[in-house]
Amino acid sequence: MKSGLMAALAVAGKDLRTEWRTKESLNASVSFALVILVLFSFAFDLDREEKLTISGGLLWLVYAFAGALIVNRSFARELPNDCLDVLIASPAPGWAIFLGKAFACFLLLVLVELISLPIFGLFYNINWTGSFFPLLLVIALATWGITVVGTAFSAVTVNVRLRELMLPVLLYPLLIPLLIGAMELTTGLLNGNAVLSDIRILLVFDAVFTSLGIYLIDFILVI
Amino acid sequence: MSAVDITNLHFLFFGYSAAWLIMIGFVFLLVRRSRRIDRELSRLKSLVEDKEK
Amino acid sequence: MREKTIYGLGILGTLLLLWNFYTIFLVIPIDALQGNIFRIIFIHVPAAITAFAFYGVAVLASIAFLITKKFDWDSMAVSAVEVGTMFTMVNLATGSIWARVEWGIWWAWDARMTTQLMLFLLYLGYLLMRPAVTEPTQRATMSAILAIFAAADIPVVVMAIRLHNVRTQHPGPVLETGGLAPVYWPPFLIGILAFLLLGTAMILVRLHQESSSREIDSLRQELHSI
Repeated sequence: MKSGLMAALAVAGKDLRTEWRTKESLNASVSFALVILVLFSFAFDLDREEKLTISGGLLWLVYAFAGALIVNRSFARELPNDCLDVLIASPAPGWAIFLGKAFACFLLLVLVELISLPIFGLFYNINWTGSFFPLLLVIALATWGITVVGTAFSAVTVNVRLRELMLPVLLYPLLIPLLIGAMELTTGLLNGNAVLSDIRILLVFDAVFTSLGIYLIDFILVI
Repeated sequence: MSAVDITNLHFLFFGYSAAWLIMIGFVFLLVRRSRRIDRELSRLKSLVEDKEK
Repeated sequence: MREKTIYGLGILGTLLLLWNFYTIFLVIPIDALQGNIFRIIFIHVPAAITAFAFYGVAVLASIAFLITKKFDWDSMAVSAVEVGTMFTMVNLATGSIWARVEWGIWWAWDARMTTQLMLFLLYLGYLLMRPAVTEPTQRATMSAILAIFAAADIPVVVMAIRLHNVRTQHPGPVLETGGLAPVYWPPFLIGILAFLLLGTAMILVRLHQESSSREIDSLRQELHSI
């Protein structure tokens, strides 16, 4: 168990180091998030009230799109030079590889989200500093859900044709309940009338899909 | 019959038609696929027999 | 033998449906509140129940494939998903028309319809992904994983939609207001039975197609090697 966790941290560290040196998916993700934020501000002409109403929904749409870019790279970066085969053949248990990669994606996506948040606040004139810590909790829980399912599907689609297209098509329907919960909570927090018991959805989603991912990853990685 | 009743019947007709069309459409797709598979199978079987001779 | 079973099931199912029509249109009294459109329930709900049943079969078959690695289970899974998706489309179409009459809008984000839409999207992804993978074992494993993830998502979806609807006050599901009067139960149950029989016939046809496809693949390989 302990060696498994060490292996998971090693995998996570490797992914983070690789990403930090090239910053390719980080750059792509942040740019994409910014572009969407700008596009949405042109798409609708809203007054202050309406902006507050759509704030949570908009923010998580942006995060979901940015997240797909990051998780897509997760297993795709192992394809050149047969790195994926080597990883599977290593003594690290399947769940350790899975959790390590999911954790790396999680940290990267949270970074992208925290960079986008002040810009979102700027463009839409929304004050997010008031409820920052509850917001951070929602971001953490929902992002973990996105990355855990995203990493599992990244592994599933790694050898599929049109991977960049298939991964979002498969991922987003599955994420809908998580995104609903995150959107409701975020809108509530930004408006000052959140119902914190909604966090149950995020917790249930995270619990179900983390365990499912850990349990099924060995079947996925054999393919 | 009132106007509401007539509208209701119209929509009922649309509803049932939609359901039947979808089901019949699916059966049609199944039949078409079956024909295609049977054709391909017999073609390949005759090719294999020819090659074995 | 197999052909006879398929024909038998298909004919029996069709006959039941036709007999049901007679009951639905000529025997049953009209619902006082909703009028004639209420009769659509005899297709709308049985389609949903049948779809659920077949999706359940698909998930069990997927799990069986992961455990046994036998392709027959993969064939069963894809057949069940296809037929289930077809019935879900019937449910969505009839539900939309019913909503148009009931509430004046073609779509209402109420719990039942949205769950059905979710199921449709999830398993549509399953059907879209299969052609994208050419290697059979890979395809079967991926499909199985997808089916299991999709099934695990459903309870969470129900939870999330309930919460969302409470917040935004969308109309509640139509069936929840009072139960079904006893006079409506026979055609309702027969409708479910008819759809299950028809669906099973379709699945059997599809299963045969899958095994023929595998035979085609092995013949192709044989041809290449001769």
